[in-house]
Amino acid sequence: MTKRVFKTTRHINFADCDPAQIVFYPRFFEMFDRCTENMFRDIGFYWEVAHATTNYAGMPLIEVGANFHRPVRFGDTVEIETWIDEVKGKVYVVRHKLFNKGQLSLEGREVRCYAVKAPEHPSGIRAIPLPDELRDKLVAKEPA
Amino acid sequence: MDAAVPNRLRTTREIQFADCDPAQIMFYPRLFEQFVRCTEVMFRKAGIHWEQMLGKSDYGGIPLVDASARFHRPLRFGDTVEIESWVEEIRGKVIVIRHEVYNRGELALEGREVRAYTVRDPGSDKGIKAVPVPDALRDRLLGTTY
Repeated sequence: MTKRVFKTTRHINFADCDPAQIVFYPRFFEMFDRCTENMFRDIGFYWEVAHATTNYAGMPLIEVGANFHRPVRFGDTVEIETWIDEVKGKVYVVRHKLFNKGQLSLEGREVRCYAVKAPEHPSGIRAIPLPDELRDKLVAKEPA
Repeated sequence: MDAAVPNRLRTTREIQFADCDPAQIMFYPRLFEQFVRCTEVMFRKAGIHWEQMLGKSDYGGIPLVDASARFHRPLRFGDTVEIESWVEEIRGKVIVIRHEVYNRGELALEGREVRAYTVRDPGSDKGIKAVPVPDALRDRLLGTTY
């Protein structure tokens, strides 16, 4: 599986930072969530439209994690690379790398599934494999 | 949830409007904010007040090395949850903190923070350096009864 990378440039604002003048770490998870949403928007899959017009019920998280290498400070401008790293059954893995002045500052990982509405199920949703039309646009095919 | 474990901090938390996303469940970065609050309380009870990192001592903070969570069940707007937090391990410079969130008695998610203990190091680029956790703090973090 070849990765197809979506890039985001993000300025680190006052509102992102904590009293140590670095990004308060939960804000990185918010940034990653935005990057994931925007990656889907880039290919024309708008979460709110899909929810209103199809049986799409969301992309619930199963697991998240981040490794922190260097702090990111108020005033920095960072580059975030986002891609789908793995699709395995009903689960897919989104990875994020955040670079600050060319250096890797942190890496994030989201394990998600694609859920559809399932009124008969106690949780109201059930997981299905990532639909082919999304997978084909987000994940570059192996060269023949 | 094990009520017999005395060295776990227990926090009760209502899931409010401001915590939730358009799916009417807690937006997951808010959970990490809650973990930070619980960790800060544990350190406060062990005698480390985080505001000390801002100039009142040589304490430099406990920056994160790794943070993660596993989600089992969603937390919905209006739920009241119980959070158990504890220091699982202190190994040299590293402190491992665990959090478990229970909703109506069921484990809804688990969180883990790996942090480094630091002191000020004004000569370095980062201004801090990681050092082994002082024995007295280690004993307090592992031995505090809540």
